[in-house]
Amino acid sequence: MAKRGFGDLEAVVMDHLWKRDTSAGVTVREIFEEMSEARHIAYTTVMSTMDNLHSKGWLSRERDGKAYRYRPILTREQHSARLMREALADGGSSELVLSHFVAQMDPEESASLRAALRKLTRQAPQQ
Amino acid sequence: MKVALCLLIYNLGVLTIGPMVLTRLTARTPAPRFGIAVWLTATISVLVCWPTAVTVLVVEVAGHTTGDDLITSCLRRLVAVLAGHSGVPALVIGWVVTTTLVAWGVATTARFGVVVYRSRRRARDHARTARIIGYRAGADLVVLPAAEPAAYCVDGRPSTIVVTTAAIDALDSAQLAAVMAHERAHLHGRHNTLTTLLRGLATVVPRVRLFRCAAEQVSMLLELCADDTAARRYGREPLLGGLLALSGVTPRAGLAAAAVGVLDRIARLHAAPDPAMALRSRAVLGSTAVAIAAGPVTIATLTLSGILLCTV
Repeated sequence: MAKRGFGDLEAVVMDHLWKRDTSAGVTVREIFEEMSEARHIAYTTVMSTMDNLHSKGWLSRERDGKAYRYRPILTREQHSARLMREALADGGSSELVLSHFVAQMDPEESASLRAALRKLTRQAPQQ
Repeated sequence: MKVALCLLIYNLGVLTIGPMVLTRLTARTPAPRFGIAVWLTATISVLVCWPTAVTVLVVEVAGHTTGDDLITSCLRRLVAVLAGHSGVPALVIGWVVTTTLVAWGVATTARFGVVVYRSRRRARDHARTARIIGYRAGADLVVLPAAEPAAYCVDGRPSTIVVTTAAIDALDSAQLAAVMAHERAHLHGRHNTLTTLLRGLATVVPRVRLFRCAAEQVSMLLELCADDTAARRYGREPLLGGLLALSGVTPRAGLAAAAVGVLDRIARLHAAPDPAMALRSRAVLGSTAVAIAAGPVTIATLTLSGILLCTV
């Protein structure tokens, strides 16, 4: 079994949270019990992971007696949309450096590219 | 004076005609690594020669001297000027100009560091977010459910390749493998790091066209490098198929040269490989890089050997 990094735990914890109904909030214990079914994990690990996710803005929390109840702030789809916006907004001078397989372009550029491609690929690729 | 003039003329030459000439030479080249070497040679030589030339010029002007042009004696004379041995006007000029230039140099270097750091942090955060919200499909691969076809890689801890479900739907398995090979070539070659550094330089010193062109052209050449690596492994056809399948589908505002770049890559992959042309390209680009580097080296050699010691 490949060694899992800490980042993977965050993904697993968020996965558990998104699969549940979290309108009332979820405690660390509930997530810990769910995760223990699939793997060996310490309660403190789950607790610090969820604490981390909270401080990084993924989860909100409120006190319920001695424990916290956690809730995801955004759905997976909302995060996904944000991420895509960031990835596709990449411009030459933006701070985020990505290497797109195909550079993103506007509709006019798309159309002229398609026209040029039709001309070019009428011949089969030469060997 | 001659040394400073020579260096400045050389610099100006590289800065003014460099962008156009180098772009022509390196576009669509079958030897993209050589192209990258040329751009880096030009960039580094300007970064080294510009402060040197300015320093020498300052010393000459402030010290009102011609004649002995050795660099070491230049520094000694700068120190002499700053210590007041050439008179008060020279002293004032010397200090004002020196502190201004040094302050500018330090501030620019610091800004460069900040820009690069912020860029790398944004990339790390993006990679981390992708890993949390996407579905892990491999050690370095994350699949993101999205309607827009996209495949890209981003540096991080660890570096990650992100492919959307729409992209996977648009590609067959050979094409997908070729696309993955292309992205992995970027990660293994640390291409994003080089792009980050060059873009940082262009951001911090925006009025120098050479740096902006270098950032753009090297980005393009890195795509060609990754194309070559992927084509060597999986063949040109799957890669070409992938490019065609993923081109021009997402209407997004983006790079102005994007369409041209894609067309260049497609044309390049479409044509049969020409070893003679590749060899010629390597020879031309290699000698260009050497010629650019030779400028300051020649000037330094001539200076040290005394040929530039004649008074103006």
